[in-house]
Amino acid sequence: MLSLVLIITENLADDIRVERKSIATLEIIANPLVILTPAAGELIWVEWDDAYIVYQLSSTETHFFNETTALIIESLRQGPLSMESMRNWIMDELGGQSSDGLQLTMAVERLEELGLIDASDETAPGL
Amino acid sequence: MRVGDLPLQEWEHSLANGGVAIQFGSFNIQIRSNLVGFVSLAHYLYQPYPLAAAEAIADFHVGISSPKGLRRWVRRQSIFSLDGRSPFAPYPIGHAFPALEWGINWCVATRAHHLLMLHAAVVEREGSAMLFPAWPGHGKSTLCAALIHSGWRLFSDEFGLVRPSDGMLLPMPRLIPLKNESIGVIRQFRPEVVVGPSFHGTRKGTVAHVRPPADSILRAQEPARARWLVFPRWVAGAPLSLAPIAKSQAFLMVATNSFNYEILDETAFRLVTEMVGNCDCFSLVYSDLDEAITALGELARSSHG
Repeated sequence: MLSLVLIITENLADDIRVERKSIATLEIIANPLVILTPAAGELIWVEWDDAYIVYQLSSTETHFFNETTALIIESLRQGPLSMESMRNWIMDELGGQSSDGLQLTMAVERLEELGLIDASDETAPGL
Repeated sequence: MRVGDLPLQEWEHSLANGGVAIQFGSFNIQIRSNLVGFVSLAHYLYQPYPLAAAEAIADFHVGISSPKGLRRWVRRQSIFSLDGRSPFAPYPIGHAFPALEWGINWCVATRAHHLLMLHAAVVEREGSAMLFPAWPGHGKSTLCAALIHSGWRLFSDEFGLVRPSDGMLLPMPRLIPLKNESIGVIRQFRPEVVVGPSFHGTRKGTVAHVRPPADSILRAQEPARARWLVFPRWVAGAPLSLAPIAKSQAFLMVATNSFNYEILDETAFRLVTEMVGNCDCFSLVYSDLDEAITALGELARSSHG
């Protein structure tokens, strides 16, 4: 199956209904640590142009990731991060270019749906 | 031995009694029929195709015959069968030939999962293959029929068959079913092209079958590696445009145009990424066949240096 994680618009965001509490929602209330799941360690990546074509062995799905989505996974390879730390890391990687906050949130939610990232039981320091 | 080497009477007798196994590239298809009109047309259009060796195993046993009961005699029909079962509703008797041709394509598309099957026309020149993945109606078959009568070798107008072990494309040079206006376009483009009769009022409109040049059929066991991916679109009156496209876009279009990408999973991902990675990728918009063929020929020449 092919799935797309590309440019996310505000209109799309309006349509999203997340029933369980996502990492993005938890951020507001608990600042959770975000971790990679084991499935994320088994991804096969091909990078062309500004897109990443990624095969997920655990689900046999092929995904199209944009740079922000790819950077989320990259950032978590170093270990668990809070949303804020992740956002800062991604902004640094993008050379100070601000990754749209909504885009980041949506990408996090999509990666969570794909089973590639999860909220850690631990809470990020600073609360 | 080729179909044309069999006298018509023997061909007719064999088709009605046990069937005849014909080699279409890497597939051996055992065909049975007792329909007189079908038999003579098949003998004419399949003339250059080799018969499978006597000891060869048939990949599919297909048939086109009269149904049992009243329809054998009144408002006569024909029915396609695979391994003795009939997966489709009957066709009018006059559409028996296109029904069998579609049926064989259906067999391949739904069963040949030992290969990655891309929905694409494929032609070859000097050992390099050019693929035309396209949605129906984008002019892929017309372009393909024109190219194979302009110095290119036909692999298939429908299937890009990729061998998983080495990523090579395998030929399956079957008849090309042209639809509606395309029939007249190709007849005009190359009057010498062998085109069968037009079947009017089929489920896909008017259909006529182009017989590939003998060389394509003769060399049906010679694979080739993909070198170009060209996504064609015929647009009436449009100026020619052959423009490079991003590989990520090409990947998306190739994968979504595959018959069995999801079935082959990681193998399909690996094969498609390798193919796209090794190919130059273009979008082609055309309205004039001669212009398109010239542009594609120049592309091939420039790539070969």
